[in-house]
Amino acid sequence: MLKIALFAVAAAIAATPSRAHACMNEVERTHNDDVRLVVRAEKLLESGAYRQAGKVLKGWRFKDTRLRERTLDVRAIVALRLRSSKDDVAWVTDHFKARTESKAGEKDIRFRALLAEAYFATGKTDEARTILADLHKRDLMPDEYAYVTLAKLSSGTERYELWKACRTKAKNKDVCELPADTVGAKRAAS
Amino acid sequence: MSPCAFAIALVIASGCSACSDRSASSAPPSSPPPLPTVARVDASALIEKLECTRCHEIPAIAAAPREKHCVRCHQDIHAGTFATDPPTLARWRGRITSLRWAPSLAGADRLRRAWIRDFLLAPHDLRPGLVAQMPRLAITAEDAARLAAHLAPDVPESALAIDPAIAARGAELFRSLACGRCHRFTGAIADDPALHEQGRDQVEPLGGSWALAPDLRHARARMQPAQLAAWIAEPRGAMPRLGVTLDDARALAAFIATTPLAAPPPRTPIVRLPVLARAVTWGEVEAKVFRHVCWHCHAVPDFARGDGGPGNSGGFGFAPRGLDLSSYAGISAGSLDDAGERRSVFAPLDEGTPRLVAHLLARHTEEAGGAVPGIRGMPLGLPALPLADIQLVDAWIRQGRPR
Repeated sequence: MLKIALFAVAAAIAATPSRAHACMNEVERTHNDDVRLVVRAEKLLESGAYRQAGKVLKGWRFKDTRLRERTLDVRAIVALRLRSSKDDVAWVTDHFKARTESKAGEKDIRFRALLAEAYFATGKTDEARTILADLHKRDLMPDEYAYVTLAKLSSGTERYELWKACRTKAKNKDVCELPADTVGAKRAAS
Repeated sequence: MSPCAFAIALVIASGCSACSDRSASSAPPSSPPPLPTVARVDASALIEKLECTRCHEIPAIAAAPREKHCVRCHQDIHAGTFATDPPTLARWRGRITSLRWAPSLAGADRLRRAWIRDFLLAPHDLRPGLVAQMPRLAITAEDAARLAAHLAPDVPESALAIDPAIAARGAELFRSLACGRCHRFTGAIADDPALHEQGRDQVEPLGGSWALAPDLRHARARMQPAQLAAWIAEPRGAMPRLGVTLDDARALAAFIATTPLAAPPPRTPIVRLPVLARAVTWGEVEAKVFRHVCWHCHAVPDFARGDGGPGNSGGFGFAPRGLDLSSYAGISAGSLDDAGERRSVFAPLDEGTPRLVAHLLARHTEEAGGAVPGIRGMPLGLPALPLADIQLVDAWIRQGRPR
């Protein structure tokens, strides 16, 4: 009897169609609690609520590889933006380097920008500048953080223009603040 | 209309004993003349590549898996059989208007091969009751010809003879059978938009027949009269059986194929609206445009377990473009070009229009019967976005894409 019941359950699982294809994000976001959680954390990231984003995913380890990777992305961004120690950023650099080199990530320039941000945070300014200058030249800067990071690596009018672009895009203009010694440069440029 | 196209149909319709198709003229109403059987080309590999079965039923080709079948999925949602909670079902039902029905290609064997080929290369709105239309696929003329040759036999054009009396009887039948309740017949005197609108109520009970009914304006280009008469007498797919005699079917076909058609009304030229002076944010443009329309095909792959839609992961014969319009960072990350390199979707094209805006405007050009070289109109196979929505996207880009 038990065998029959198990067989019935297995057959039902096998017959249930996977809701996992194009146009299915809405389905996944409605039905899949894991996806909902990751999406919630990412929305918090977008709004700049890093601490909350980190809390939402704290302790979670998902079965799905892609969700696991996205969870790590969230944690890495939280660590990068709230950096409290050099150690935090070191693993972040490794993480985004691996992401840019992975098959899924090699075409995703967002990881390149995040890697550049991590390089900048660890003092690898040449590496950071190379990546961001390329993205900027191709109008592929993903967000205000990429602009402000490149601004910090630039000077003169270019620095001012990047700072201005950051302020245009950012909801929270504080993100675009440059170190005090550059204020004069901003004024001079304007 | 080729002169010989009418010959068989109208000579048959007039009952000419000298040269008519005897088997057809003596057949009972339920047995119209059989369509000529000419060997077809097997384009099943191409059909698989283009994923035609995600929308269409095609004889001898397996349907797309349920989770990839756009139409079935939407039908399940409307039928209440999609496994989800009632509030979600109600919400989705209220939103899903497109791709609820698609014509079965089992009936494509009544069509002219050349028409199918031309339609695939330059699709236009054929069925006024459907929201979606045939998308402009990435196919060559050879591919289109091959598909047409798979779907329809190569039927020689027939010789011509016109009998106005038969056509006049067909006009009466057209009215008495209320064909206009499902079919528009734009340009013809018989066209009755008000009656057609009344027929909208029949969408659900008739399983989409109203929505799938083509504008009969195109019938004479699509079919030879003999094929049209055969179809009316014994339709397949969504077209309901009218219970007409074969003579009546021939009269109707003669009317549909010969009644004078006025030229289509001239299209209002597309006037791009000026860039908005007021501030436009990502939140507004996302809610009104990207999240509302674009996101369905240009999504993030991870949440749908590896498929970000045809505009991201590829599909319907399109190469993966990696375009994610579901987030600010996603749209800023651009799309993949033909060489697989990232490019900005905001970059101005030759005339200064941002690429993204150019795609949205191109859809208007396509609806007007044109095409923009190198730019596919978006949203693919759906009505063009209102110009005010395009203006919103344009303004957001020109204002520096603020969050």
